[in-house]
Amino acid sequence: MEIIPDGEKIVIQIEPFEVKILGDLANQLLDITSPNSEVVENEDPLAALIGIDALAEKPTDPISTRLFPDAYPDDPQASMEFRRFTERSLRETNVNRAKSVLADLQGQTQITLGTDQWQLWVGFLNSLRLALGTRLEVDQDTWTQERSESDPLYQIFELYNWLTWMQETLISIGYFRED
Amino acid sequence: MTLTATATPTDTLPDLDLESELDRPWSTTVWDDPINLMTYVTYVFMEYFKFSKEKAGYHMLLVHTEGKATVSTGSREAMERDVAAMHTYGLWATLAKD
Repeated sequence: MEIIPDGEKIVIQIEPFEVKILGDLANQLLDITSPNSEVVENEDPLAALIGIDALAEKPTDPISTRLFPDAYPDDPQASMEFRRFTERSLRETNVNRAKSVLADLQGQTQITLGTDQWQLWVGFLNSLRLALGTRLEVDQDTWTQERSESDPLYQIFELYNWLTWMQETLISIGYFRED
Repeated sequence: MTLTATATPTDTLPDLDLESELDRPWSTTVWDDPINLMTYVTYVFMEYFKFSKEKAGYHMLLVHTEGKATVSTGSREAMERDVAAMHTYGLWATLAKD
């Protein structure tokens, strides 16, 4: 993969195997972030219309907890209320980003990103890194460490580093280019 | 936060308006996490809060070195909007009454 500036835009040159990997990751992120369809079927249509999820629950797994955190550190009840009003839309934002990236990847070897698409990609990559980094239990020192190829999480670690490079490059070229 | 870029604290501190601080009982805190990139956090502060690059970098470094930083103060409703926006960017943010 190469990421290069092209005037106001950014061009990503991408190999077919990278399209496959990013596509697989986008689909996994969709699985994690899609609103629960059962909830959608049973809910109050008016509440759904304005984005309230009456049946929202505090997540139990570490990845969802990181992607959908509590808003009030010492007030579970207020956090739950906040979740009912915001989690649906947060999930939908994640779903839209992943679907948008999947559409960009469709049969492409070269993807040109304008500002709007750039934002979607950066947000998508951030959610993916949050998911993978949580799975890897990344801490402040991890990023400097090598993992051995016999480590069962080695491939996820390599993917995480690749996504980090991609996000960092997109931000430095797309947002801090004048520096 | 992951350190992949060299950054130095600037000596430009944000202006504090004490008068208006007293009228504003709620605040939004962004917490350090080991995954979000320093450049990304700076970008989010500039983009969403319209901080200057220096102010955004200062708050990003506060998060990184102190473990957290207050990024906005105001009404509860306004802070809930800010926290929801931070969550959309993937930053770990909470609100509390000061």
